[in-house]
Amino acid sequence: MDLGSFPGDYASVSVIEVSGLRKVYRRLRGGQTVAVDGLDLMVEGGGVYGFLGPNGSGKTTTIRCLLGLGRPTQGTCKLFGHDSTNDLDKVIRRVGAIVESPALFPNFSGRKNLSLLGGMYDLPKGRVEEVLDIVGLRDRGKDLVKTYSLGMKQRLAIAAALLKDPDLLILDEPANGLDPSGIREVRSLIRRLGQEGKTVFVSSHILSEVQQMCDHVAILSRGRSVAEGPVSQVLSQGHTTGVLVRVDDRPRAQAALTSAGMTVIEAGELLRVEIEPAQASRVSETLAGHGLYPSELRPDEVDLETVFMELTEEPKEPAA
Amino acid sequence: MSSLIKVELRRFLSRRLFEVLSLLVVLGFIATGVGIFINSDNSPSAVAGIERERQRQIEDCLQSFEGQGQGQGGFVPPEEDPEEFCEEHGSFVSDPRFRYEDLRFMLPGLAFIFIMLGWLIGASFIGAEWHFRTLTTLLTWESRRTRVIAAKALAVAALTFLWIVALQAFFAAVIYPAAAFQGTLAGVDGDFWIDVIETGARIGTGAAIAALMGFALATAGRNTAAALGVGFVYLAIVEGLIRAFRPKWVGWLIGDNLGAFLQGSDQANYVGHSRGEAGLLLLAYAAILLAGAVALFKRREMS
Repeated sequence: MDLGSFPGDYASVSVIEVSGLRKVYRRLRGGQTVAVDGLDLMVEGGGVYGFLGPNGSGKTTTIRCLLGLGRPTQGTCKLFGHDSTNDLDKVIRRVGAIVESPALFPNFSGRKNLSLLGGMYDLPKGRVEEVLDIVGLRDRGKDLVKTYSLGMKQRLAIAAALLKDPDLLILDEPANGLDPSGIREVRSLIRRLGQEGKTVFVSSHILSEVQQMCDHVAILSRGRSVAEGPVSQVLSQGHTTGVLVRVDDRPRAQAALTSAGMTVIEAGELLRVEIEPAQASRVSETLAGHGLYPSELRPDEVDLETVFMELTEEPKEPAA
Repeated sequence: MSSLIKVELRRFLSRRLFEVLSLLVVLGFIATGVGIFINSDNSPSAVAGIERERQRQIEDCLQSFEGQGQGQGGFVPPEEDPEEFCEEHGSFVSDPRFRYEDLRFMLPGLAFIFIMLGWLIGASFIGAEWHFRTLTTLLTWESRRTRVIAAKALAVAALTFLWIVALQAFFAAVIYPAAAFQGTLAGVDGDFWIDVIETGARIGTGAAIAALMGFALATAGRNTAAALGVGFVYLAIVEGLIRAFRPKWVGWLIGDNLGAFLQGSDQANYVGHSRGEAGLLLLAYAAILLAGAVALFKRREMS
C-alpha cells in the first residue's frame, strides 16, 4: 500500500499547534470544570507523538478541540496551520481520527461502514479492502459490527481512520480493548506509519507501549503540560539512574558502599545505589572487598511510567 | 456535497428499520389484498342478488312516499322527483364486489399510517447516529456541520417521499386482482388515475414533511425518543387543548393543516387554507424546525 509521503506544502508548518488552550465546562447545577488549562503544544511533521496523562487530565478534550468537535473557551488549536474552529474543512481530508471508543453502525458490516465513509470522498472500493487487510479484518469484513469484539471494533475504527490515507492520524487510546497481540500489531502499525512520514498523534495509558513507539511525548496533568519533548529528554526528568543490589547482610553492605563514597538507599529487600549502571562493577568490587557477595545486581533504569507517576502525582494533603 | 448526499441515500436504504418497516407494511398490504380477494364476490348470482335487493329497497322507498306527499312536510325535497330521489338515495345495499374505484378513498384512509412512518423514519435516521456516536466519526470526515445536516435532511425527505409513494403503488397493485377477478373495475378511468396519483403524491409529500419534522426534532433532542415524544405530546395534547380553548388558532395547527393538505380542496376550508396553502405552511414549519436544529447542532459539543 502506498501510504504517501508528508506533503511539501506542510513541511514548514507545524502539523499540530495548540496555544493557550483552555476549555471550561459549565455544570448544570452551577460551577464549572476546567478540563484544559492553558495548554501549549507543537507537533512537527512525521513520527509518532505520544500524548499522555491520567484520566481527566484533558487529553480527549484537547483532541476534541483539535478536531472541531468542541470549541475552546480560550486559545487556539491549529491543524496544518488552519484553525480547527473555523477552517477545519480545508484540512480535514488530511486527518484521520479516532475519538474515544469506536463509533460505527453496529447493524452494518465492517465493510459497509468503511464503504459509506469512503463514499464521502469517492475513494475506490479497493481502498476499503486495503485497510481491512492492514488491520487484519478482511475475513470478518462482511460480518455485522455488532458481532465484533471490542478489539475488533477498535481495529475497524483504526481502519476507518486510515481509509482516507491521511497525513495526520489522531488516535485516542487506540489500544483500548485489544489483546496483547493486537496491541503489538497496532504498535507496529503506528511505528511503521510514523517511519513512512505520517504524523501519528496518539493518546494512551499504556506507557510501555508509548515508550516503545513514540519519538516525542507530552505529559498532561490537570489540563496542563508537565513535560514535553523527545522521549529520552522526558525520561531524563525522572529520578537518577542507579543499580539495585540484593545481599544477605544489607546493613553491612550499605555501610561498605557508603564508605566507598556511593549514595545508597533501601529499596524494599534491595539496596539502591545511585551510580551509572555501566559502573556496576564498582559495587561488586566494593562488596567483595568486605566479604559480601551480591545474589542480584541489576540496573534500575527510569522508565516512562515512573516519570509519568512522578510528574502527575497529586500533591499530598498536609497532615492535620 | 453530492457525494455526501449519495452516502446518506445509501445509508437510508441499508437501514434495518427501513427494511423491517417496509417488510411489515408490505406483508400487511398483501394480507389486506388477500382478505379483499376472499371477501369480494362478483359471481352472477351475487350480482343478481344485489340488484334484486336494490330494486326492493327502491320500491320500499317509493311506497313510503305514498300518502305522505312531497314538498312541505314530506322528506323528499320539493324540487326532486321521487323516483330519481329513491334511485339515488333509497337503497343501502352492501355490494359484495370490491370496487377498485374505492382506492381513491382508501389511500387517504391509510395516510395516518404513512405520516407516522415518515415521522419515525426521519427521527430515527439521525437518532441512531446520536445513539451510536457515528456523527462524531462523520464530522472527522466532513467538518461543515450545516452540510452534514443538509445532506441528511435532503436524503430523508427525498427517500421518504419515494418510499411512501412506492408503498402506495404496491397497495394499489396488491388489491388490483381482487377488483379485476372478484370485484369490479367500474369507474376506473383516466380521471380516476389522475386523482389517485395526485392523492398518492400528496400523501408522499405529507410523509416527507413529517419525516423532516421528526428529523429536526431528533437532531435537536439528540435521540429518536425525543422526537417521538414531542410529536405525541404535541398532536395528542397540545393540539387538543388549542382546539378546545383557542379555536381561532386551528388554522395554524400542524394536524389540521395536514388534514387540509391531504384531503382538502383548492378552496379555503375550515382551517382557512386551501390545500396548497396548507402544504406551504407545513413546509414552512418543517423549515423553521430544521433551521433551529442546525443552529443547535452547530453549537453543540460532540462527544
